[in-house]
Amino acid sequence: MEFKELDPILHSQLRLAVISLLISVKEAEFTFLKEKTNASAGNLSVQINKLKEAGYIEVIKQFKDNYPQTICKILPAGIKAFEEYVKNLQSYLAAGK
Amino acid sequence: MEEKKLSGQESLELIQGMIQVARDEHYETGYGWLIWGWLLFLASVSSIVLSYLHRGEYISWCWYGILVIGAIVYTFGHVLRKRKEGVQTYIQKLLSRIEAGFFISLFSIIIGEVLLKRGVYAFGYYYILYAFWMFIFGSAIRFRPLITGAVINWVAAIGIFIVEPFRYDMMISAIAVFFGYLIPGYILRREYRKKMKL
Repeated sequence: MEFKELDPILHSQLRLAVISLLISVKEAEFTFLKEKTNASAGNLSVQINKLKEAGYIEVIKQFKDNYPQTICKILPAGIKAFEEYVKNLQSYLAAGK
Repeated sequence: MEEKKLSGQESLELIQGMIQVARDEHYETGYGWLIWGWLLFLASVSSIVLSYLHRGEYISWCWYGILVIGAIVYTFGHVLRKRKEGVQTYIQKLLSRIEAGFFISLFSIIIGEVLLKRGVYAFGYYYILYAFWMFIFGSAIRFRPLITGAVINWVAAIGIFIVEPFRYDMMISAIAVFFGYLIPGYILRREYRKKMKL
C-alpha cells in the first residue's frame, strides 16, 4: 500500500485545530479561534498567516463598532487539503492496525 | 495550545474535538419563541375578551399592535445577539435565511388579507406558516418540542378553518400558541441557561 505524505501545512497542532474549526462553520472571528484553541494571539496570528499564504483560508480585516475585527473563512483549496489530509490519516491508521 | 509533533491518532482526535466544539456553538436562547409566544397569546386572549365585551372593532388593532411591538423587540434582540457572536455556523446562516423568508411570507399574507381588504379569511394560514417554520427550525436543531409545536399549530389551523365563531378561533389560537410557542420557548431557555451555566 502506498502512503502519501501528510500535508505539512496542516500537520501542525494549531493549524490543524484552526482548519478543523473553520471547516465546521461559515466564518469565525479571530477571538473565537483564540478562545477555542487556547493559543496565544501572537502564535495564532502566525499560524493563520501560514494558512492564508497556502491559499487555504481567507482573512478579512474590518471594523465593527469602531473596533478592529478579523474574520477567517475556509477556501475551497483548504477544504480539499483538509479532506485529503483526513483521507491520508485514515489510511495510515488503518495500516497500523 | 503548544506546538508539538502529532501522532496520527492525536491528529484525528484533535479534528474530532474541534468539529464538536464548533458544532456546540449553535445555541438557541428561546428568546424569539417567548416574545412571539407571549404577544400572540395576549392578542388571542384580548380578542376573546373584546369579543365577549362586544368590542370587536378593536380586535384588529390589537393584532396590528402585537405585530409592531413584536417586530421591534425581535429585531432589536436579533441585532444584539448578532453583535455578540464570534462565529457564524452554516445552520445559523440557513435558519436566518428561512426565517427571513418566513416573515416575508407572513407579512405578504397580512398585507393581502388585511390592508388590501380582499375579504379572504386567512387567519388559519398564519398558523400553517408558523407550523412550517417551527417544523424546519425544530428539525434543524433537533429539538422535539418545537416539532410537536408544529403539529399542534397545523391541527389548530385546520380547527380555525372549521370552527366558528371567531372567539372560538381565538381560543384555539391561545391554546396553539401556549403549547406550540411558550412551552418549547421555556424549555429552550432552560437548556440555554444550563449550557451557559447562568
